[in-house]
Amino acid sequence: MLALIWINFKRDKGRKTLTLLSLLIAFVLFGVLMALRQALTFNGTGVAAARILVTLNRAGHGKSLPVAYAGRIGRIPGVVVVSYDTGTLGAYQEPNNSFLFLATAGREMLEVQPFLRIPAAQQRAWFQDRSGAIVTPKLLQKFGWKLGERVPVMTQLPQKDGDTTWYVTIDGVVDDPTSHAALGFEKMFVHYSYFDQARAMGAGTVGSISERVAHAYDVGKVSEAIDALFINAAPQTHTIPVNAVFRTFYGQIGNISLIIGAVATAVFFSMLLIVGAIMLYSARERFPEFAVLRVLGFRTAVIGGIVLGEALFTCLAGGVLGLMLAWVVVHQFVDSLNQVLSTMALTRGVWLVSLGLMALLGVLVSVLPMMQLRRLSPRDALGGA
Amino acid sequence: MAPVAVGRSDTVVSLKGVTKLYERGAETLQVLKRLDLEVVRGDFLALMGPSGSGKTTLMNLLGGLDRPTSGEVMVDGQDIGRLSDGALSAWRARHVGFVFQLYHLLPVLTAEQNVALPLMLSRLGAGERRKRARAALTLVGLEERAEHKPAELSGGQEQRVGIARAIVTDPTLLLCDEPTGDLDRKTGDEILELLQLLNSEHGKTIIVVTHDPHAAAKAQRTLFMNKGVLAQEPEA
Repeated sequence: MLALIWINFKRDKGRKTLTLLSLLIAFVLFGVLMALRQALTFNGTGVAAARILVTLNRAGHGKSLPVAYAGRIGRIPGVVVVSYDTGTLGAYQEPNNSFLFLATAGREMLEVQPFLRIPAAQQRAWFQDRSGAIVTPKLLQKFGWKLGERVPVMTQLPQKDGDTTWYVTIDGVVDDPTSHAALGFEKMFVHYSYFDQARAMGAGTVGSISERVAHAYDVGKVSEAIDALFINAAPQTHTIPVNAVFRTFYGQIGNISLIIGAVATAVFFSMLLIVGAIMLYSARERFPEFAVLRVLGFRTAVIGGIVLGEALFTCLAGGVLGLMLAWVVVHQFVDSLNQVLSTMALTRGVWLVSLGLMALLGVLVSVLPMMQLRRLSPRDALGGA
Repeated sequence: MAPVAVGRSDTVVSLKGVTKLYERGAETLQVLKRLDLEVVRGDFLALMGPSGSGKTTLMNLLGGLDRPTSGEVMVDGQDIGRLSDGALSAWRARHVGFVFQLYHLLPVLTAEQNVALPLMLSRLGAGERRKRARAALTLVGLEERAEHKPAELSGGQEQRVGIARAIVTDPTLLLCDEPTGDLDRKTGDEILELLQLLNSEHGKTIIVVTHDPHAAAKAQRTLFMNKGVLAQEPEA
């Protein structure tokens, strides 16, 4: 029966080529859109993020907090470890080569965010190097840095001697899943102690304090306790789960994601109508042949299986070719896209969803011809009275 | 009415009191009227009659393509009027070979693939199906055209492929609907001689529907159909 499906698939090459091309183009578009959508919705922190809180200045998330708050927060029951950081944009050699330059609590940062992965030897080297830095892999690759290399980082923040260029030693490479996310930029982490001592202004302050709590179900209680602790202080704090930070960001891009989803859905339904019409037309043309098959003893279900098999084969062939082309497009151009879009990828999830849609498309476009087949009588092959 | 038969035993086809009605709007057409018929194994029967006389309806009943409104259609001891649609399809595949006026070959398949088509419903492997299809093509004298598609064959050759397809499953009954109706006289004669050969040498039971007295003359006997009734002689 597969042979029959294959032979029928090859008939009417002109129409079949056009159908496959339509499917190919649709799935290129679909694949790229889905890759874009996943880039906009992936944060990569997994379940660990459910136990992380971020404390910010209630007066405004761009404003700083005293680093001394961290010690007080650490004494609140349920808080396991506290970290803090303050950041600015850094650049290497020219302003366009920008990345996040983050001064952090070092050891505590890695404990609060267990999804950050760094080889143990490099971690030890960084902890022992006061002016050391660890960077995300793409940054190392992009600038061709070597471990142990001393590199200049241009910033807007002056040191006490007025110089805005900071010199750090690359001690390690840290895999940060959030830097693969739409939200993430490539990052360089330096020690807060080094940064804070050297900077000309803002000493003793941090941009945010992050806490890891013992249990995910405690985050509400602990965040209330933190904010209560500073209710009479200046500045007051606003503590939220780190997932909410992501959600806030995604809220801004949520509409884009929705639009992408809508366009992808429109692509799918357009394809459904186009391929459905072609399949129906093609099947109708062959009804006399199907009638002959019925006379020869083929059951309606078997003939329906041939129609379905051909539709599935067509949709899968065009769709898979389209997705492969989408993969080439995404991988070929992703490096030239801006940092947010550089996380675009045809993930296994996108492939699985697309394959599912191809199969669904194949089934749906077969429904009408199959319904008409049920009304087909083998007598139609003979005619007369 | 007494059954129209040749009086021998080993009956393959037995029709008893078969009536077929068709509803056409408010009108009811009685296409077959309490028909009786017996055909024995190895018979070669020609069925003649004017258009609309009920020949094709009778063929449909004999081939399990339709069911009688009343009466009994027995083929090789099986009352096929009582079979479900699915069972009737399976029965057709095993017991009946059809030859059509317009051949009805699948244009995308080669001659061999067309002949092997009914064997797809059997449990035979691809190699065995191919072997049997080749044997059937050899029997109709077309083994050298096995790889050709219908568009590359003459009308007579197409009909030979159609006959090979009809006999490849070694059916109980061969039903031919105007098998020479679309062919010139010479080619038509060749096809009729092939049917005669299948009947005489291979013992095939054949029923041919035809308008052509010349074609009917090749059969062992001829029955005449008129207004849904069978007769030994044409209506004057």
